[in-house]
Amino acid sequence: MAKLRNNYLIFGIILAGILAFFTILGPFLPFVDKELKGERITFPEPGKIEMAPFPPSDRFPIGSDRDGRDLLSLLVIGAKDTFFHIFMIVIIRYLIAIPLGLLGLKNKGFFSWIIKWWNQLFSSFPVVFTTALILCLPILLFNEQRYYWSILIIALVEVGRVSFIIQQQAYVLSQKAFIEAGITIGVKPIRMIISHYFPNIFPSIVVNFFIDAGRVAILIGQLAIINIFISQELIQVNYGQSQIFNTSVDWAILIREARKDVITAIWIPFFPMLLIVLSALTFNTLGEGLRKHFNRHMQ
Amino acid sequence: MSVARTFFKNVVLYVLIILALILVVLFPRNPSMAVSGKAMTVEMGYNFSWKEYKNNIFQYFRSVWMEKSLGDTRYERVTVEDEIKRFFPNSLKLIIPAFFLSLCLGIWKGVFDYKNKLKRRNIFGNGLTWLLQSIPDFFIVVCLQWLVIFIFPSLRLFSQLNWYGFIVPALLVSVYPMMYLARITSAALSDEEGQYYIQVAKAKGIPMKDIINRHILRNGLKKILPHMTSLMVHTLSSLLIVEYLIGYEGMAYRLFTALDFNLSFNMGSLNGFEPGVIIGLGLCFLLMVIMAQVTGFIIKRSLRIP
Repeated sequence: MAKLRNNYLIFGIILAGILAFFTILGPFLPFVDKELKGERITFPEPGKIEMAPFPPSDRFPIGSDRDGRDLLSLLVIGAKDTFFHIFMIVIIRYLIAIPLGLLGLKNKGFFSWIIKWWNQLFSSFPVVFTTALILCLPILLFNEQRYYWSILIIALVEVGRVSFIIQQQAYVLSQKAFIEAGITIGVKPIRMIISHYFPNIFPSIVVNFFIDAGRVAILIGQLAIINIFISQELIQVNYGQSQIFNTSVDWAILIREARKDVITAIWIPFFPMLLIVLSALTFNTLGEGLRKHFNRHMQ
Repeated sequence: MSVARTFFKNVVLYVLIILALILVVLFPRNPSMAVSGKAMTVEMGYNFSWKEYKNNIFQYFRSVWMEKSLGDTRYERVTVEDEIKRFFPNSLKLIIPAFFLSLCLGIWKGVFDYKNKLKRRNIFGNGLTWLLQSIPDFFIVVCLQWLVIFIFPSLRLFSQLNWYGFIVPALLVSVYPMMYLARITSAALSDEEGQYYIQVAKAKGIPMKDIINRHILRNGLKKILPHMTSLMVHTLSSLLIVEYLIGYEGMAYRLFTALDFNLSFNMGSLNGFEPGVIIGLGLCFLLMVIMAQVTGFIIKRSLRIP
C-alpha cells in the first residue's frame, strides 16, 4: 500500500500551532493593544462625530466593540481565558470519568450502576438546557466562588457520558485473552489497570478528549448566546438594582448580543464566532488525526 | 432482555428524570434582602433554607393535585396548558421534519462517507462531515440572518406568517444532528468490515453497492438505532438556539421567557421565573425523546433486526 499521509493530523497540528502562537505570544505582537484602551466617541474631522462600535477600517482591522476597543486585540487577549475555560472543563471531566469508568469495568456492581444512571439522567435533555437551568440558580448567582462552581458543573454534567464510553471499552477489553492471562499469573488489580487496561484505552481517551474540547467550545458559545457566562459577577449599579458583568475578556462576552448585532454591528459577534468555529475545527481534526495515527497499523 | 422489562426500566428512568427536573426547578430562588446604614443600602444575598424548599415542593404538588393543572404563568388566567397548546405545535412543525430529515439524510451521508472512505471524494465525505460538525448552529444562523437582511431583503425566509416559514428553520435545526448521525453510521459500517458474511457476498459476485445497502447497513443499524434518543436530544438542542436567535415562537422561545435571564435585575425581578412553564416544557422535551425512542423501536421491529 502506498505511504499513507495523515493529512488530518498535519492540518490539525498546524491549526493548533497557529492558535497556540496567538494565545501565548499574541499580547506581545505589535498590532495588539495590550491595555485594551477604547474611546466611545471620536471626532475624525471638524463637525463630524463617530460613535462606537466602529466598522472595520484602517484603524480597526476587524472593527471595534461597543466601548471602541479594537476587536482584534480583544480576541487575541481573550484567547487565553477562553482556552483556559475549555481545557479546565474537559480536564476536570476526564479526571473524574477515567477512574470511574475503569472502576466499573466489570459492567456490574456499584460503579457501573452509577455510571449508567448518571449517563441516562443527563442525556435526556439538551446539555444547554441542563447547564442553563443549574447555572442560573440563585445559590450560584450570589455565590462568590461561582466561577469555579460553574466550571465544575459544566464538567460534571457530561461525566456520565464520557465514563460510560470508557467503561464499555474496558468491559470489552476485560473479555480478552491477555487480561485473563494477566489474572492467571497473579497480577494485582491496580497493576492490572495501570499496565493492561490503561495503555489500551489511552488512545481512544486522547481522541475523545479533543472531540470533547470541540463540544465544550461550542457549548460555551451557546450559553453565551442565552446570556450565561462562566465568569460573571453580580454588581449593584443602582439602588437595589444589580447587573451581571462578565469579569473576563473571553470570546463569549462578545457573542452575547448577537441577536441585536446582526442588524447593527455584525462584526462584533461574527469574528468571535468564527474563532469558536476555528477552535472546534482544530480540536476535531486533531482528534480525527490522532485516531488515524493510533490506528495506523490496522489500515 | 424482554420487552416488558425494558419498558419498565424506561418508565422508572423517566419518572426519575421528571423528579430531578422538578427538584431543580423548584429550588428556592428568592434572594434575601438586607438594608444597612443610614442610606438604606440594599444588599442582596442568598440563604438556602430547607424549609422553603420543602414548602415549595409541597405547595407545587398540592396545587397540581387541586387544580389539575401544571401551574400558572406570568399572565393572568393563562395556565401552563394554554401556553403549551399555543407554542408546542409551532415547535412540532420544526422538530418532526428536522428529526426525520436528519435521520434519513444522516444515514445516507454516513453510507456515502463509508463508500468514499479511501477515494479522493473523501473531501466531500468525511471532510464535509467534520467541517459541518465543527460549525455551531448559532454561527450558521447568524450568517444566514445577515445574508437575508442585507443581501436578499425580499426573501421572507424567517417569517412565521408564510406557510413555508418552517422550512428554513427546520433545515437549520437538522444540520448538526444529521452530521452526528452520519458519523455514527459510518463508524458502525466500518466496524462490520472483515466479517465473513461480507466476504461470502463478495465471493458470490454481488455488487459492492448491494452488499452495503442490503447487508452491511442492515447489520449496522443494530448499532445506529440505540442513538435515536441522542439524535433527538441534539435536535432539541439546536432547536433551542435556532428558535431563540431567529425569534421563532415555539417552545424553546417560551422557555427562555420562562427562565427570565436578564443581565440586569431589580430587587424582586427574579420573580419572573415561571416554574410551571419550565416543568411543562421539560415534559414536552421528554415526550419528544420518548417518541424518538419509540420510533427507533418501531424501525427495529419492522425491519426485523435482532
